[in-house]
This record gives sequence, structure tokens and C-alpha cells, in this order.
Amino acid sequence: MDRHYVGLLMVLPAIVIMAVLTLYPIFYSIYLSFHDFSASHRLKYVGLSNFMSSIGNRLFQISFMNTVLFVVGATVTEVILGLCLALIFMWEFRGRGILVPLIVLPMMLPTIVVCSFWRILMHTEFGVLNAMIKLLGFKPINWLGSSNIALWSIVLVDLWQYTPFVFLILYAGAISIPRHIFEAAIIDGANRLQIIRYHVIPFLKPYIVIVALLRIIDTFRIFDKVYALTAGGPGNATEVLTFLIYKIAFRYYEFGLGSAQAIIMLCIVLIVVCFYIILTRRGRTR
Amino acid sequence: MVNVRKNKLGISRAILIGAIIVVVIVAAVGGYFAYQQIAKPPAKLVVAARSGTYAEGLKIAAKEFSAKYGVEVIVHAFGYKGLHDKLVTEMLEKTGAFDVVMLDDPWLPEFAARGFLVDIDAMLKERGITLDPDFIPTCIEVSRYKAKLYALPYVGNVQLSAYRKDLFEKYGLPEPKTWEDVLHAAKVITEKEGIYGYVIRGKKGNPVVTNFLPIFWAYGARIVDEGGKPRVYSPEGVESLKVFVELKKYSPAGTENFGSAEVRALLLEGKVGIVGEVWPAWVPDLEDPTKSKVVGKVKIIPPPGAKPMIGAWLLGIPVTSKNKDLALKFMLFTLSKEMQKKMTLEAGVPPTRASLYRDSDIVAKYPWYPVQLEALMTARMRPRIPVWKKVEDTLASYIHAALTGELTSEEALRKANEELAKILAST
Repeated sequence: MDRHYVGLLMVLPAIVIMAVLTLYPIFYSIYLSFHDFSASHRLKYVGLSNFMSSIGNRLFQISFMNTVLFVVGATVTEVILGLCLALIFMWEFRGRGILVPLIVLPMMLPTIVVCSFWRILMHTEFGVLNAMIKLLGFKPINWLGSSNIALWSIVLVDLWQYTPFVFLILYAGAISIPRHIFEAAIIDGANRLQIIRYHVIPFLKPYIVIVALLRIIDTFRIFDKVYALTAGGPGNATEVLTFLIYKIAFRYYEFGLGSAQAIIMLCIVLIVVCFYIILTRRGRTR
Repeated sequence: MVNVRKNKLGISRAILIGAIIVVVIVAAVGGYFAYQQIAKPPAKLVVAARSGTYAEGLKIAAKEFSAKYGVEVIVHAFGYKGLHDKLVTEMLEKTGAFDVVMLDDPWLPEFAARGFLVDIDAMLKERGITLDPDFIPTCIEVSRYKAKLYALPYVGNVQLSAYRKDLFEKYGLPEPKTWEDVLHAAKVITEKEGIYGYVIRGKKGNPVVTNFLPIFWAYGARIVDEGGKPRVYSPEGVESLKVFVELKKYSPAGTENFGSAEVRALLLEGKVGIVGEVWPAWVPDLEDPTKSKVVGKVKIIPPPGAKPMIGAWLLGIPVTSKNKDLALKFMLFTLSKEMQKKMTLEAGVPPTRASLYRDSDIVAKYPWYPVQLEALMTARMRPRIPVWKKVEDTLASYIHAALTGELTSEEALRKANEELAKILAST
């Protein structure tokens, strides 16, 4: 009993810090989301009108769609690419020790740096990407200036930066498979593809699900890449939720409306997080 | 054994006593200094500034001010968006962290309307100070909100234009006076020279609107009328947007997402014939052979149509400052003729006093300054409304829609007008 009490006391500072830094802002923004905080400094209770006007707003809808496209596009490709890389790298070969850290490198760079040099790479006039495309005899691509392509260009940058993360987790999973299973399979006459199909992929399944969920949660919060690469343009082609919320709250001072949209976003992320928790729990009990 | 122990005890006791003496002395000395600090806080000014040239200029003034009055002046530099967001949070939280703040001119209505800034008119009146008429009228005008002065102009920034005089001579083109001239010249240069006739700084948000405004104004269009109603959907507005969209034909691909870095690079590389929007800070590089391939080939002119946009930077005092007197003193010191001249010559800050644009030392170093003064005299300011940021973003998204061909110029402005009406009505 006493020990239990001491334990609680020990974590108390952490709980207090959490409450002040995490819970208070969340509850304050829930409170704000039911109020009008735009024209004056006085708060006016407006009920659900912030939520209703958000959902009915054209820009919010566009931003929502773009965010979903980005999340799906980035997560699916990152998981597929990361899985392929992990399946290649799980077999020992010469130079693997050097290649793995190199592949992981992009993940370690700050996003704003990544965006700065991708802006240069994607420059229509002086960019390396278009120089290569021209060399191959194709028409240069307007990476960030074309409404149809800009969002996918941002996905490409995200792929470059975060495929290594997916790779790293799946690679760790793949090399933790006991080798004697492979040996037995080889003795039974299986080739590498069969081993991958019947042993590795089933083993990696929970890893794939978890890493996909982590990427969904992370890509859903896309902000910095849009901020640095296109500022939401051309037109509204790369407007995403976080960027819209930032503009509404900090550029237009409509903190109530901004909070409402942030709460909507939070709810969506929470649903994904619930899946994540359920799946990790199940993994643990098994 | 006992002896040794006693001996040990003796040594440790000596150490203990010594340590206590040291602690007491340190505490006493420290306490004395701390007491002095509390009793007499040293006068100190904290300035929030836009990083780069403008902050460097202020640092020069800060150094001189400290030397003269013995007041420490700390200049904190922030990036453009960072500065705005920092100031908003500081002023909403009322921290009083800054005594002097640097503002981009469109932020002034937004800050003044929310009561963030001290009324400078009242402060000057109290002290019997009148403003020097040497300040350029448009620069003072841009520091006002609803006829009251809320800041003083620090940087006399204004849009200029540039064209390649070698190419204009080669193809017998006259110096562009109107945007039709620009369109014609851009076409000729694109077709005959094989470089880009024009380049648009088209990144969404502030850049594309800023780039479009001198054309929009040159055609006589306006954003908001005296009654606060949007007027972007007008025959003049539509015509000007058509010109803008037409100019895109002669601009490189990807121009919809160009920022100033891309535009400057094209100009310096000699890949563009006319640039409708050039900022004073870009000009020195043009004549620097290590950076420019067009030394001696570019002419700086006031923008065609003579309706450039003023982009002044101002100095204001937050109402939360605890040193308002000192802050005003520092601002007046910084904006004095001598100090402005020093900042212009040493850091390249464009002054806000007309006489300095004619000063022989300054013109010797910055030969385009008379042109800049001409542009400043006819410059226009963005609408003085607190919701400008929202208006700007909305306009940007519709100008983009026209640029990318999603909407026609007519539809884009009609829809923009509808949306602006809602925004303006809700405030």
C-alpha cells in the first residue's frame, strides 16, 4: 500500500507536466471551438456553428480531400517500397552494412532542409529532375506549378524522406525471424520467393499494420512540406487541413473556427490511434 | 586508530568551516549584486525585427544608441512569417517582451485595429514633436490607420521594374510605359531571343497578389471601395487579369510556384527580358559580376502604369511595452537623417526620407535611388483593412485559378468578389 503511494508520488511531476502542457491546451481548444473569437477579444458562445460552417466550407472540403489523398498516396507507396527494400536487405550480401545506414539517412534530415533542396531539384528551369527527363527525351514536368501534379510531388518528397522509416521497422522485423526456419524451408526445396511468400510476409504482417498506422497518423498531420514547397497552391491543389487551420487561427485570428477544425482533425486521428492501440494490445497478449 | 580518526575529523571540520565561510562570502557578494539589480534595473530595449538587411540596419542604430545614451538595445531577428506569428502571440498573451516591433505595412491595420499598438500621434503631441516633412508622404500614409499614426516608417521599400536594355535596343523596343508595352516586348523577346520574355512571382499567398497588384491598379481597378465593398469584379479588373494570364505565356513553366529566389535567379542568369516586380534589395547583385551575367545590361524603371505597391517596413511600440518613452526615443534616433544615411550606406536599408534619395553619397553608391523615389511618390498601398490577410489569401487562390486555366479571368474575379463580400460583411 505504502509502496504504491510512493510510486504515485514519483510519477506525480510527470502527470502535472502532462496536464499543463497537453490536457489543458486540448480542453481549452475544445472550449474555444464552441465560441466566436474573431472580431473582438470577447468570447461569444456560438454552439456548434463553428463545426457546421467548417463542414460546409468549400475550402475545408478541398483541404480534407487533399489530406486524404496525400495520406493514402504516401502511406501505400511508402509501405510497398519499404517492404520491397526490407525483403531485399534481409538476405546477407556484401556491402549491406554500408548501404543500410545510407538508406536511412534521409529520415534524419530536418524536413525544412529536405524541402529546400527538393525545391531546387524540382525547379522547372535549373532542376536536376527535369534535366534528367529532358536527357531521356521527355517533356519537362512542372512539378510544383501544375494543379494535377503538385500534390503528388509533395508525396514524392515524403516518400524520399520516410520510406526509410518504414524500411527500418520492417527490416528489423525481417532479420529477427529465426534462421532455422529458412534452413528447414530450403531443405524442403523452397526457393527464396516461396520463403518470402509463406514465411516472411505472414511473419511481418503485424509489423506492416503498425508501421502503416504510424505513417497514416504522421502523414495526416502534413504541414511543413506544404508550407515550404507550395503554400497550398497552385489554386487550392495542395491545401491541406493543418495548413488551413494554421491560416485561420494565426493569420485571420479566428481561433474559434480554427479550434473547431482542429478538433475535427483530432477526432479522425483518434479513430486511427484506437486501431493502433487495439492492434498493439492484441500483439502483446498473443 | 582513535588518533587518526580524530585527525581525520579535524581535517574535515576545517574543510567544513572553510566551505561555510566561502558560501557565506559568495552569498553576500551575490546578494549584494542581486540587490543592486533589483534596486536599479538597467535600462534595456528589446526590438523584434525582420531578419536580414533590416535587422542589420537596426543593429547599427542600436549600437550608436547604446554608445550615446548608455541603454542596452537587443535586436531579435525573425523570418517573415515567423515575425508576424511571434508578434501576434506575444501581443495576445500580453507578455510585454518587446519594446519596439518592426511591421510590414499591411500588418498595421490588423494590429492597430486590435489595439496592439501605441498611438504615436498622441505621444508626439505630448512631447511637442512634429514630424519632419522630409519623410516621404506615402511612407507616412502607410503608417496610419484611420488617420492616426501607429508607427513610423523605417524602410522605404517599393516595387520597381527591370528590363534588359541590350535586348530592347536590339529589337527596337521602346521603354515600357504601359502593360501593353510589356506584353508586346515579352512576346518579341520570347520569340526572337529564345529566352523568357517575362517572369511571374506566382507562389500562392502574398507573392502572387503582390506580383499582380501593379497591373491591377494600372488598369484603374481597385480591391475595396470607400464603403468597404469589394470591387475586384469590374471590367478594369478582368482586363488586368487577362493581361496577367497572357504574361504567363512568356514566363517559364512552374512560374505559378516561383518565389523571389527563382525570379532573381532568372534575372541574374540573363534568362528573362522583363521583370515586372523587382525589389530594391535585389538590385545591387545585378551589377556584381560574381553573381550576375547581366552586368550593365539591366535598366531599373518605375513599374509601367506608375502604380507600384509600397512595401514599407514600419517601427511601432506595443501597448504592453514597459519602456515606451525610451522606445520612442530610440525610434526617432533611428529615423533621424544622419542615422538613416548611415544605415543606408552601411547596411543598404532603403531610407524613408526624400532628401536621402537625392544625397550625392547615397546616389553614388545606389544609382537607381532617384527612380525609387519616383516610384515611392506614386506608390499605392494595400487596402487598410484588418482582414487583409484573409482577403489576400482569397484573392491569391482565385488569381491562381485563372493562371492555371481552371477558371476564366472573368469567372475567377466574379467568384473572388462574391467570397470577398462575405468576408468583408462578417467583420
